[in-house]
Amino acid sequence: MTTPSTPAPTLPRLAAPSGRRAPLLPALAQLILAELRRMARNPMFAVGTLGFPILWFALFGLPNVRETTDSGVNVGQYLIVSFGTYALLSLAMFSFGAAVAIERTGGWLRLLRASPLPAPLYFAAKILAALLFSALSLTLLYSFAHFAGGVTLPLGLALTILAKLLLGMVPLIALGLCIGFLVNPAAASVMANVLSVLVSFASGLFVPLNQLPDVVQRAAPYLPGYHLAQLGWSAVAHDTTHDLTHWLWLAGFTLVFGSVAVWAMKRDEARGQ
Amino acid sequence: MTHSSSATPPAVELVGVSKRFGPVEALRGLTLGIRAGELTALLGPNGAGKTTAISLMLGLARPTAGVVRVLGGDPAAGGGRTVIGSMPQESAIPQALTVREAVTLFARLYPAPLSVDTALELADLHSVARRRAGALSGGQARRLAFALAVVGNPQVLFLDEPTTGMDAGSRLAFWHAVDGLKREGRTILLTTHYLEEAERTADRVVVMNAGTLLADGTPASLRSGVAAGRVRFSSDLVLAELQALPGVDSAEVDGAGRATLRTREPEALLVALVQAGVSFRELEVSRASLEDAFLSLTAPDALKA
Repeated sequence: MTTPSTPAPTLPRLAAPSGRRAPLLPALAQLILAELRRMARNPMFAVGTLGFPILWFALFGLPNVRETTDSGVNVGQYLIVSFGTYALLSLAMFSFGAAVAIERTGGWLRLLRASPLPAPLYFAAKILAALLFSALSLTLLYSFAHFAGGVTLPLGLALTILAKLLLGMVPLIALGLCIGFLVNPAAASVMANVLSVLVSFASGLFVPLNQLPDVVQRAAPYLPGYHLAQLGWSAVAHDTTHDLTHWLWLAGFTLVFGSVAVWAMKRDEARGQ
Repeated sequence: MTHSSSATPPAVELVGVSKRFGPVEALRGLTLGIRAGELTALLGPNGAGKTTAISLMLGLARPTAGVVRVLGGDPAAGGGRTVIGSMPQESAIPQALTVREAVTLFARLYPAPLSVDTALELADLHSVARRRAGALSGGQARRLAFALAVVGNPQVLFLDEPTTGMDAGSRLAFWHAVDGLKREGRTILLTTHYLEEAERTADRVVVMNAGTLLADGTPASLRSGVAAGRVRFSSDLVLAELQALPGVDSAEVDGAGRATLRTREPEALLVALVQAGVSFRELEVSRASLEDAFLSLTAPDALKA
């Protein structure tokens, strides 16, 4: 680099400090864009949340998509819900667990706190971006199932599943935030991996629950992934009698994980460093 | 604390501020006013409490005791953040964002930002504007942090160790930009380990150690407070004769007859030498540097001159 030969650029005159803030919507849009870029440009993340669900569906689902379960449910539709739930679970663990841990310890979060950005806007942008990315992941999974396996969901049913899974993802996001604010980045990355695989397995996403060991079957109702998948499966089976129970469980998880996440965030803020 | 009667109140004010982290007392009753429109350098060894003081001024932490005011308001309430810029020591910008994207994002957070191009130009980042933050060199990453600090067009800038990791060229461009901001009337507070930089650019130097204020003044006044002006020459004078010369604080002479004198007034000493008709060779005169002042102020057994 050479000695700067040009004079420093002229700056606009200083405005007196006022209560004026930046308009919220452009700030929110930029934050969402930054989040989407972060997700799309990280190969590990993109492959893990877009690629793996499709890969699992291709390996374990495609041979059986035309079959029907004992209760008369199309296996292809059932598996879209299974691997779709897995996609959302791993997205929440990585986007809110591993990524927040890095942003918190690396100083990015501290820099944002010193800026005029209202903290809720940071979280709103993260959640909206995660939901957009999740919708993309589910759309890609369905497109693959449709074109490669001939699985078809009527439009109304597809939108119902999409809405239920995205709304039911909230407690998973809260769990991800707990991890992000409680553990260091290396541990958060390991936890995100282990949790998304273990919870998926124990919730019956990879192998139907009734084929799993008794102890897993009894543990499943205490996992958020189980209740989320049940809501999707109930839509496929057109039997929503137990939906309220599952929603209540998910609301409970949201309350517990959300409280812990808020406490951990305040603790992190109070360090003030 | 006496209230300043001048027209412009201090931009940043700490009154009797203490900050405790568990058993560690990072700041002990620190009182300090940063005048508007000045460049103030905050110096001190590691652990002196510089970064803690900046955290309090940014409103990221609250003092255990005392009052912190920035532009007349409580920084922890967050109101003044639209006119404050900060460049922390560590600010891992998300690696996937390009330089331009990161600066654009920050510009949107402020009500009256600079144009993104102006901020990139100030930080000399145009040539790497399309590069991802994760692929920047250490010095480029520091300049990106600087661009994020200025893009909001702040009135008050906090720069924590801004030039650490910058190469000589980056550093030159950086100080060029800081000079421009100072001329435009911005208030700048910086911490640095490079004392010669503080000496050259600061209007005022504040030295801290162990959470308290040790010294506060212009670089020149701090230097002159240290009896470290040094005159060396070879002559036939013996130690007693050297010590008797006017203005000499201490004198040494080595086996080869080379004398080293410390004095606050080297000019007067030289005049006296010439008038006395002493013949001397290999004359060397050096001024106390800010570094001498800093070392003598922060030495564990600080010389109370």
